[in-house]
Amino acid sequence: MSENIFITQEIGSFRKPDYLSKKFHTIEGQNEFYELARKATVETIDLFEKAGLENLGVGGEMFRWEMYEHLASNVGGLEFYGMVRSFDNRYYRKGSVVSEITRKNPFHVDELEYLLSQTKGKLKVPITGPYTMMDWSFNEFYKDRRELANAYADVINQEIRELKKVWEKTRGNEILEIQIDEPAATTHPDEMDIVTESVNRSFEGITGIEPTIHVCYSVDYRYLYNTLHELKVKGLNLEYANRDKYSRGTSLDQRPGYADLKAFNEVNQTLNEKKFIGLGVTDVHVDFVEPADLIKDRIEAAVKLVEDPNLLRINPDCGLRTRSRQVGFDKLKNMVDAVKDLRKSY
Amino acid sequence: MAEILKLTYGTFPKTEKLRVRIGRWERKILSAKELEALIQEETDQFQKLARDSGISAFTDPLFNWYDIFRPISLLSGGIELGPLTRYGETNTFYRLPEVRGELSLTASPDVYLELKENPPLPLYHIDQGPNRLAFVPGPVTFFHFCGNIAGNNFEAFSEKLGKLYGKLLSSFRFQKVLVFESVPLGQHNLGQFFKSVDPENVILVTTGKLEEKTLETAGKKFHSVVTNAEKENLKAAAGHSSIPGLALIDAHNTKLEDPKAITEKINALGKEHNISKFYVTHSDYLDFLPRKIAEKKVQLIGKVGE
Repeated sequence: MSENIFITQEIGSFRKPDYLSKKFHTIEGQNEFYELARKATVETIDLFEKAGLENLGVGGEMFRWEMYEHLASNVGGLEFYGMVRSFDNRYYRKGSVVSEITRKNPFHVDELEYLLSQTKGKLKVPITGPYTMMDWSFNEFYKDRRELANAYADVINQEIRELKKVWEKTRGNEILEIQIDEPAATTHPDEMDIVTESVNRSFEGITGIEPTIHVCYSVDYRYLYNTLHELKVKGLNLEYANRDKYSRGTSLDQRPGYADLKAFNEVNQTLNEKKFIGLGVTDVHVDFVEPADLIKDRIEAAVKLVEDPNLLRINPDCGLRTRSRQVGFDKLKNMVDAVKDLRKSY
Repeated sequence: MAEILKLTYGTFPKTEKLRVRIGRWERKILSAKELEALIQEETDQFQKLARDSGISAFTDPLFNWYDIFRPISLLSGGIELGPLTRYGETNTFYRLPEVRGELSLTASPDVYLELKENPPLPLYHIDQGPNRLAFVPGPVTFFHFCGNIAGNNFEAFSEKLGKLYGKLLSSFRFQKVLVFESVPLGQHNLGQFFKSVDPENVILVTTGKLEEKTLETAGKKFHSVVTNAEKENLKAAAGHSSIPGLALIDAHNTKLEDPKAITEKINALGKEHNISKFYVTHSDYLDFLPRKIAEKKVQLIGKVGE
């Protein structure tokens, strides 16, 4: 039995306790905010550990409200004119880039410092990626989308360098896992070169880190797979469960959500250094808690396609903040149970 | 100097007040009737904005449409709401209309009607006087963005959609309808759709490359075909409509255009193509922008040609 295969991890966000979410915007930046965010982080780490999760991420992103807005509010050069629609009656603040993008404040340093003081467990820091930041901003200043994405990449690069310094103080030479979140990565297929260039630029010149990318709800992951020769990440943490069925079995008919791993494998086999897949095995958009045997089938189907079980890590599709804390816990617990059971066979 | 008619259309961003009230309605704290009254009030305010800005023609701001397909999907038999789906290359999502059977109008679109997955109807709230337009998503766009479970080909689908729209629009007194196409028309045959919706009463808003052959399939000249300023597109639009339209205001950027520069551009194009009258409008509906900016864009359209 190997404990190094199928490492279980969170993607990033987890539902905040009410005492934090209800007050978040009114107390953000104040002492009370930090007290509550810290309390919520400790409780969430505890919950992750009870579920048996091996990589604790950043304790469910209790210091952040929303992935775009958190980073955007800490950079200079952006103006906010109001909310824009995401869907139905859901809105987000979309910034307009009106001057040069600069790093006004560190955006994840306080979170990491606190985490390092609370746990010796495995951590992974998610950071919203430069392409998504660009795509979700109005561009009134930069010449084109590439220039803006690269400007965001430079700011992210500065942040990672500072995170690395904080990390080294307690963890020494241990590798720091950085996950670049790029939900917009494949939305403009003709811009995959901008995705690759800006994501690589975010890590440029930084050693001692394990860079990964998280993409979800893509219309076609093959656009991403086709960048793997150039994209300097160690692995891809992706959503698959959302597109899968609930029936049991490991054949492609029974596991349609995972079929395109075949395309991943074809590219991966041509790489000198193979990438791993962080396999989304539980759907964050439904309350249905996938039983462990269904999750096992999903993992086994993926092993057949990826060929090497060492190239798989196991995670939810995306951040679990869309579900209640109880449902989130139940999903993680079943995911861990499935992995524990499966490891006996390897 | 070309005569310039100013046009605005499609879903318009809501005020914070309305967003909050819709949130309350979703949580069942506010009744549908109360929400309906506010939607009417906010629509009236939008009409005042359009009028005061000197807008020549406008559609309903569609404050009660959760996306550009939703109320029509909910009013039609044969369509079910599918999953949330990304709308083109935007960061906006819509519920996929899954076309599973024959399209048929299942309720009156012009009266109050409570819906489960959308604020209440009627479909349109604006006055139905002159220069007010109905708004519908075009057949190419609907076909492109739907889940075609029934396996219709485009001609069959567009014929059914045209008939549905014909019935739907007959409930209202609009003289003209704006047919919105957010994907290129390509080489689709539009003839089946425009059998039920008279092109002479249509402002057809198009996106991307425009081909004369495609417009010809409608069988009649349109009232207007709106396009970008590409030479060939404008030529096609002018050849197949009484008043060609130019989409010169960017609906996906908060940067405000200069009305004087736009006026000069239109005058130059008029001279070059021998066109004396244009519509001017935005490149997409304005719901992708914050409300404050959308209002400014409407106001600057009003200033074009002055």
